[in-house]
Amino acid sequence: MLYALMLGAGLIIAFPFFWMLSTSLKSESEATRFPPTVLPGEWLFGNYPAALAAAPFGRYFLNSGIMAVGQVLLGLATASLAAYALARMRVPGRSIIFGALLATLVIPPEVTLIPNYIAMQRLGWYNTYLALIVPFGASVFNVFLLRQAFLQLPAELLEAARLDGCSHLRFLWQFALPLSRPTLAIIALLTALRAWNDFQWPLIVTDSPTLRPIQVGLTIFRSDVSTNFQLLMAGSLLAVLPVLVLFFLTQRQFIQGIARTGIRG
Amino acid sequence: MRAGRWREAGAGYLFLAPALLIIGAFHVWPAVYVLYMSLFRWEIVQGAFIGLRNYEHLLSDPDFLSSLGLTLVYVVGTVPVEMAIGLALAIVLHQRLRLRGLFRLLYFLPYVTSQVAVALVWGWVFNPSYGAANGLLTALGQPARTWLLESGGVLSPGAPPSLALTAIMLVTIWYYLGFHTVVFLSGLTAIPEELVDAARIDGAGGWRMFRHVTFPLLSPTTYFLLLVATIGAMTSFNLVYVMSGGGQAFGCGGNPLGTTRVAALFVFDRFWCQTQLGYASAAAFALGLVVLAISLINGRLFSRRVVYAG
Repeated sequence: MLYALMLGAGLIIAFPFFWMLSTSLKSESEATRFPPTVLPGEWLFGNYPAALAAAPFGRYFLNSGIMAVGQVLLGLATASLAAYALARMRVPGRSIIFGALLATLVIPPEVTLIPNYIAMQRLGWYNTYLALIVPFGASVFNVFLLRQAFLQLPAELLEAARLDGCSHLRFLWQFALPLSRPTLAIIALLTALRAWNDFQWPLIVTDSPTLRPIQVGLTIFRSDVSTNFQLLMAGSLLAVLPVLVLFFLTQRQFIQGIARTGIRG
Repeated sequence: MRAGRWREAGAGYLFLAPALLIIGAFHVWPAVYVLYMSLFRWEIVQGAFIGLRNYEHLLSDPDFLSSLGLTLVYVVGTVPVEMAIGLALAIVLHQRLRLRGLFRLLYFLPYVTSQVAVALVWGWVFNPSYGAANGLLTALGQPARTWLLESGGVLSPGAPPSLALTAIMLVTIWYYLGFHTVVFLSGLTAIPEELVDAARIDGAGGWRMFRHVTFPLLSPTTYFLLLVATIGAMTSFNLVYVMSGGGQAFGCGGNPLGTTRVAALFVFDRFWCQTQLGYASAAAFALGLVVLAISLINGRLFSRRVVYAG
């Protein structure tokens, strides 16, 4: 009984994915038949090369990849350094700094959209990778999570290393970061996910196909192929595929990460 | 020793600098600058200082006022529903159900996929001519609808939500359901088993157990989810934007007939589509204040959860 209920809920949740896949393999005439067929009469895998040829998807993927990797690397670097200083260094006023950082969490990101757009223009970053990466290169949440991880490292470890003449930067690199790998993995995963799926920001700061990431490219593609729904579904599936693969490979960290941090995109 | 301490402090500030610089420049400063912008006539370039005129205009702008109303409808129509279903699914999953990992994975799937892609898929499901939604209605012997193009109210003909907005709300619930399930599930797992066992020995079971033991102990999670879901829904953009107008044209206007123009869409429309940057800033700032008020009301709970979450 419970199983039937859970399975029913699961089927409803999975239906759009099934429908996307099914449509993406239909011929144009079958996709626009009513009532619709559940499964394609003939499986046209050629729709995928056709979709890839209809828009510069390769470039879109590359741009999204650069954006995601850039945000992950920069985000990890800024968060590690700041979190380490807040957790393990004698910095005057560090609790005030930490409190101020936490206080900025109440600023809704939505109010920053228009001024940041102006800032990109004035900095000359409009239509560059800098605009796609740098504004998201530091997150209070990541600093917070890593600070927690660093605080849990045994204090004796740092003392012993310091007595041996180990600098803070080397200690961070050789001990603190390797020992905090699970937290780093969660941060990297969630940052990459957010970057790959981001839409509104890249929409307003890019206007050329060479810079456009996949989510923006997909909406352009929609207007281009307007009635070729099978191509639109093939393109959509390609856009979610990398995330789905990453999710299946890392689902444990992923789900625990979301449960722990409660980030709601 | 003294010198070493100064050196350490200096290094510490250097360590902090990149993060503080980025957060300051792209998160804190813009929140101040948006207020500045809202005091100007600012179209493509900065114009004259006009004081609070943009805010006065907002209060008499029927599009803005209706967008606030639609946002309220959207929040009330999605947040409680996704939370209730998410909690129910989490409770069932918590029963050490077999295949629990598989179900959890399945429910969570929408949440990791991009809102743009799923909005395009749902736009296709709701397609008025060839969509699966109408296929289902026809199979059930019901008349076909035009879904995302239908401005008529669902509850009563002239009142929101329109069928278009209702369809978008359903997609929103579908998208966030797994998030609530997963967070509720982790909240349930954190409840000490001794308490549940003790209550069971005292004769509590089923509904009474839920009402008097599980639900109260779950309240930090519930408040936390209520807060983030409310704020998220109040500022929801991607799903609404991509599905508005039936998923064929860009959704600035919140079509059909502006019935899907929620607050974030209104801001984006004035900012991006009509390049009234000063006016859009005023609307964004006003919306931001409401969001801020909600976070501050719940601030204590929020900080407690954040601390607990680490």
